[in-house]
Amino acid sequence: MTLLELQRRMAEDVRRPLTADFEMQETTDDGASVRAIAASYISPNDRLSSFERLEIYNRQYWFRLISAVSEDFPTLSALLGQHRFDSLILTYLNENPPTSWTLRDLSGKLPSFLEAHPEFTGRRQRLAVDVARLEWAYVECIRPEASHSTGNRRGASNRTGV
Amino acid sequence: MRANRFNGYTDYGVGIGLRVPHYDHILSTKPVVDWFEIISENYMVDSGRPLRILDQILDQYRVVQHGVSMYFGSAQPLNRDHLKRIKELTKRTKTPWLSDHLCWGSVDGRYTHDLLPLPYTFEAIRTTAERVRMVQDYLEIPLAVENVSSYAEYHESQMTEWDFLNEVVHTADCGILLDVNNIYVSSQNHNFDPMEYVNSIPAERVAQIHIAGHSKCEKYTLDTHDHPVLDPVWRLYARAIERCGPTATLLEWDDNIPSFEEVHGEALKANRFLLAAESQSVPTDIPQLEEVHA
Repeated sequence: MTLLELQRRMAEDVRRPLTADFEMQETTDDGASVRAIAASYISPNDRLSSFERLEIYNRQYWFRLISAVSEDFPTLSALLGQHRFDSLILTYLNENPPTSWTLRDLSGKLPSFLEAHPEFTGRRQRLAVDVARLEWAYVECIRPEASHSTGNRRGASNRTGV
Repeated sequence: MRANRFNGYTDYGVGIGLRVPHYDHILSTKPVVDWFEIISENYMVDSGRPLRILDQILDQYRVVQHGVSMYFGSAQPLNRDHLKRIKELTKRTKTPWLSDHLCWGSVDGRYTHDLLPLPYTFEAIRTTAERVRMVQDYLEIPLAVENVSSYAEYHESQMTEWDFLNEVVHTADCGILLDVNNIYVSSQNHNFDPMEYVNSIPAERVAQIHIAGHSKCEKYTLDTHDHPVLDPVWRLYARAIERCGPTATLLEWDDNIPSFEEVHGEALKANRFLLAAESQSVPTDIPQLEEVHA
């Protein structure tokens, strides 16, 4: 396996959506075993299987992105409620994966995404879209800095207890 | 070593990471701090509050840039926009050296925003060292690569992590940002002796040292930067200073950030080792700091 092949393999696995319980999926969209895929390139150790080691990165990817977008839209989150907001963010990130070196760009398309997906807002769509636009304008003009850091969020382990 | 070509022949002491919750305190009380480390990407914007704050900090303090998105080990070409913006920021900060991580994190134009471990292979050495050289040539300032903490190992790996790091920095002719907390975290996750790692590093290439806190989970150790530095990490730090001499040291605290005084006080504990090294009598005992495990 070349370096590029390994990186493409791992990127696909790390970006795969988590289950509703924030665990790594057992199978890919085409039915392949993720356990077998993980074992093909990641070594197990005396405490963790290849699957579990890969799962740490899979969770970190999603928790980091969810956290970054959530920090940009606190009022929208309050307006929609946590469950609907989480659902919105996950769908948005699935359709708009990061293509920029900065997390600051991650949320930029959320207002227009929300406008095109009224299923996440119900009767309050106009208000929700206005709030999203206002919060994004705040991010662009005023917020001190983006969410870049070098540490790993503890949620990567705490939410699942691995 | 204290001042070398990898840190621009500077003699910086103990610094802390510049973080948003401390902005008001720093700007209003102007505490004495040797230097601040900034996450470059947080200030690589065209205008706005981040740069206004940074300029006020630069009026008072020495600043060193630390990046998180260079991904020296990614197999594809460097992002020119990213490089251009980093260079613009270096002109603003006048950072004497610049660091980023020995990892990968992007492929085919998609970013993971994570510091993913590399396979320790000769191909990865060639690829990574070439990219480090290109960045160093473009930025025209010394570069230091930082060892990352990791939770996975690859079947493809052909050598230890420290052999890999040493080969990369030798081939690229760059410096090392030695993160002794990351060494400890990885040693717990991969069952190696962290002291062997510290003892294997070419001391003459160490431009800077990172210290930080971590968290023990049931089956692995996580690099959380949300605690004081724990005793095993101080032991590695003591050995690193013994080998490298007094070296620019920075405490990272990124989550559950306490008051400025608490963060700075934790960082200043490093002075015990730095001052002892100045007099060439590094203490063999370690400060009696309680281990804090969540």
